[in-house]
Amino acid sequence: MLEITNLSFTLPNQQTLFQNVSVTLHQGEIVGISGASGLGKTTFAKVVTGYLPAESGEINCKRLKNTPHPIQLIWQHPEQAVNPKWRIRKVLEEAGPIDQELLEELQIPFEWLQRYPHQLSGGQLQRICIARCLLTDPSYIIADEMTTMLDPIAQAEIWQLITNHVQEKKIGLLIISHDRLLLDNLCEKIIDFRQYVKPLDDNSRNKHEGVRTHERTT
Amino acid sequence: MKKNMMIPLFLFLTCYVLSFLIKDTISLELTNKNQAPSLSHLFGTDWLGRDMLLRTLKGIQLSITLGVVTALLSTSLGLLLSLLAIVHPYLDRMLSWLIDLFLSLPHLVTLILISFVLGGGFKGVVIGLMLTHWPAITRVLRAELLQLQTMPYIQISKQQGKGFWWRARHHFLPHLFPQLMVGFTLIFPHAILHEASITFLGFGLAAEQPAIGIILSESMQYLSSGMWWLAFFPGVTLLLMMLLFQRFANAFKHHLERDRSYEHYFNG
Repeated sequence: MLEITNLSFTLPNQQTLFQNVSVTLHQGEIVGISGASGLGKTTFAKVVTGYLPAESGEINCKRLKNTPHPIQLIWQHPEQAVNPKWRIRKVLEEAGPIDQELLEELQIPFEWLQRYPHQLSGGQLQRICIARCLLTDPSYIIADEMTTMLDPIAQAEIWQLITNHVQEKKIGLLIISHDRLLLDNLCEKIIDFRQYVKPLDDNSRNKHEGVRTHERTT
Repeated sequence: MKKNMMIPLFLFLTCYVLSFLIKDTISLELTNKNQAPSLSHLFGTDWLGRDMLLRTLKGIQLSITLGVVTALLSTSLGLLLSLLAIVHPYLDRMLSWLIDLFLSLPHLVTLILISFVLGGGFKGVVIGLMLTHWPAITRVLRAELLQLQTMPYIQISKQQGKGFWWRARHHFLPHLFPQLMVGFTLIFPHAILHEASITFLGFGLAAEQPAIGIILSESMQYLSSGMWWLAFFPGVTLLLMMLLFQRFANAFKHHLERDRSYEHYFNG
């Protein structure tokens, strides 16, 4: 069970982004996080997966030296998440030995492995990123706006593939998305991220215009 | 494509290997001294009657060896130091300071100082050149690495448990290769010219070593008496060798950076 307790993060300009976030995620459970743009959802995901240091708080899942992190993050932009100078085979092999069955499950033809990232489309590349994430055999996955740039059909396909796999392998899945309908469909529990964000005072709102402009009364 | 690369390389290597076949001692023929270029002495002869073609070839050999060794050493030093710079911000600060320090001094002054302290000769010149030519390439590589480090795929690699040296080899090196190649080709002629100038000033190679710098500096005394071939032919040969090398390096870079998208990765 993944337990995140009282996680806080402060920006370099001393402004608190989110405070005391507590989330529990069981293996095989699908939980959603929703909230408007700029609330710090992606930063939260990066802190949990160890890309950024937390300011305070506890995560009961840490990376051991020279092993993949047990919580894997799937990034929003797959074209930034793969080395453009590598062939797909190498991208996948970085995570671990290639599993033929997994590739078939994700509908990745063997022929793609010899291509370069620019020879695949965004949706295809995102499937590669999912495959790479699953090859590390993670206990938990955080999907950060994983399908925002895809059309509805491709989205449905990808979510079907990943939810099947997650339930079969008992992996905890945390979905970050704006799309309330998507979360309603997929998740057992939805957390509203707004409750962890301190309202900005007028002073800093002027300084950072456009950072958090959502209505807080809804 | 292949031809662009192979012809300059072949010519370059031929000249280099040819100079190894020449006997170490070039005979003195005092009866034939100060001869203008002719069929029997293509590059003419000097004030001791030595054949200038042989001397030039010998000089080219030494200069190329020196240039290649120096360029190789300073690019490797640059690569190593720039990799160290991204290990820790503190190391980065130290390295930036060191780069600024070396760049703020004129090359030649540092070079003379280091070469003089090490007692001159081939070793002194090589070490001196290496220690003066690394900052420019290091600065370029460091900037590239700092940018690469923020790329998501590098962070993902870290998160997947890959160590620093693994990342350096598989992620960084392919991206740094064009810079390394350009750095190498720029340092190579630079090193030879600096070797020539430091030798000309008397702090470099000893006078009995037939480097191009020595030949040029000696010929200066005879230029005013109309013996133009003493400086002209060695200079042109040096220039030609540089151009050949640059041609090869350019073609080689293009060859390595070609679009491999449709080449087969697997055998067959």
